[in-house]
Amino acid sequence: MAPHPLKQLASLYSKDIKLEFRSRESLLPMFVFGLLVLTIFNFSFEFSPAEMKSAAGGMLWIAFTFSLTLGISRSFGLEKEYGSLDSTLLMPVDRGLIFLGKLLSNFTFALVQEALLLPFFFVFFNFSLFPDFGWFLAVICLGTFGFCAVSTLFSALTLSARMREILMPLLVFPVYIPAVIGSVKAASTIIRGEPLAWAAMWIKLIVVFDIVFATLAYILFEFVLEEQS
Amino acid sequence: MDALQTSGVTKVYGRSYALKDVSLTLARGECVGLFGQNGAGKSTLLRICAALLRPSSGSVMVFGSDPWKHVAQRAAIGFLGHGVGLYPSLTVRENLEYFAHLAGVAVPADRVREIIDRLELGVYADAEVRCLSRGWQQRAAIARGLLGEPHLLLWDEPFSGLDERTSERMSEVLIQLRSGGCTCLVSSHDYERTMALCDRAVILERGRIAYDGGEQEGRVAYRGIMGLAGKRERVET
Repeated sequence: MAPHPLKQLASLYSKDIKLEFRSRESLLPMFVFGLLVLTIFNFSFEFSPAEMKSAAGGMLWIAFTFSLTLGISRSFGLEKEYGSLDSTLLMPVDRGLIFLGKLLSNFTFALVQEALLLPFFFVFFNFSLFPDFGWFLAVICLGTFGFCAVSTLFSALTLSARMREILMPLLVFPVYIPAVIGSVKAASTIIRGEPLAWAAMWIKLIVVFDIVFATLAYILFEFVLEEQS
Repeated sequence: MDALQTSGVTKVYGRSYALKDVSLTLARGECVGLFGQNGAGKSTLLRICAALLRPSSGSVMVFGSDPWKHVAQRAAIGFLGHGVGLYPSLTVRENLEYFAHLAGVAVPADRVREIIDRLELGVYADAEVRCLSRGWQQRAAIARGLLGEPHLLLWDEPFSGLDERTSERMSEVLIQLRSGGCTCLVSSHDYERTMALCDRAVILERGRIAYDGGEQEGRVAYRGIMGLAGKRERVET
């Protein structure tokens, strides 16, 4: 009987979730690092409330992206270390599904980590809920998805590299620049309480980035894995 | 239709050849021992046959179809490599259920129960893999390899690093598989133990097939290639 792709995807995803919640090897270091970055920013600048609203978006994304790199760079590394990536590749499963499973699990961990960091962001920077808080969350989700798509691909690409942890940010950040600019601009516009229409262009940019890079990563993943075998 | 057919398989890493023009055929139900020194290309050949590695040139057909083009064909292949290939933080049962789902087994829980019973893994079925000894981990790895009821088993050094009792257990597993009609290609450094289970020996030397034939002549060729002939003479005198 031919295995059903959706069932396979569910297995790949739930295995990662189970592994992470049992070992906490990614989530905990990501959260602690993100919290440290926010804490340092909180004590580093003496901004007026208006200046703080302009700078907060950038600080938030620095905390998010740097801490996510820490966790996602290990996502395929651990599989390679255990030899279990080979076992998965031996199964009659499409390589693209393996990418999607890993992307979804990395995205889930990223959202959990960001949900844990956001209350600290509001407390440290003395913000109350913005009028367009729903859109603020949407920008975070969209920006994070793009970041996860790019970094999941590069996590596989750097599998056999000796200095994987150093190489990862050097490869991921240049590619992610358009989306991080869009995310920071859109988030800052919402934090400042400006009309949502001003952020629309940036939100569209993130959406296009997500679609293009998630599709590219899905297609390229098979070739990237072959090079690592 | 042959179980496995490699035609002119060559694998190049940079400027060096791991395999050069390897053509090998395994008939259905045949068990072949694969020998050679370290770096001769045994593991590379097995990984190429398992569709884990794409050859630089040449082709591999498993039961008449290319496993790179027909992904479903991979279900017919069982590969047991050097590593255990299981997730240390998951229990044996969780690992097996995960791989059974990926393999498209109809009722994963039933199949896992069956394979656990068959390999007498019941005592450790709910223990995390990292808590098991090397021998039990190896047994769990075999269970993973047999989940999809493979018709072609590729086994890389089944006796390496195992004590005598566990090695015997591995031999028993191979005998059971053979009697079930499974085709096996087993790489090993233990010629005597492996050839007690196999019909044919294939010896690789620097990426090429140096010998392909029966056990008796194979022993002479094996000792020559491995540089053991002189050593034996010295022991005897």
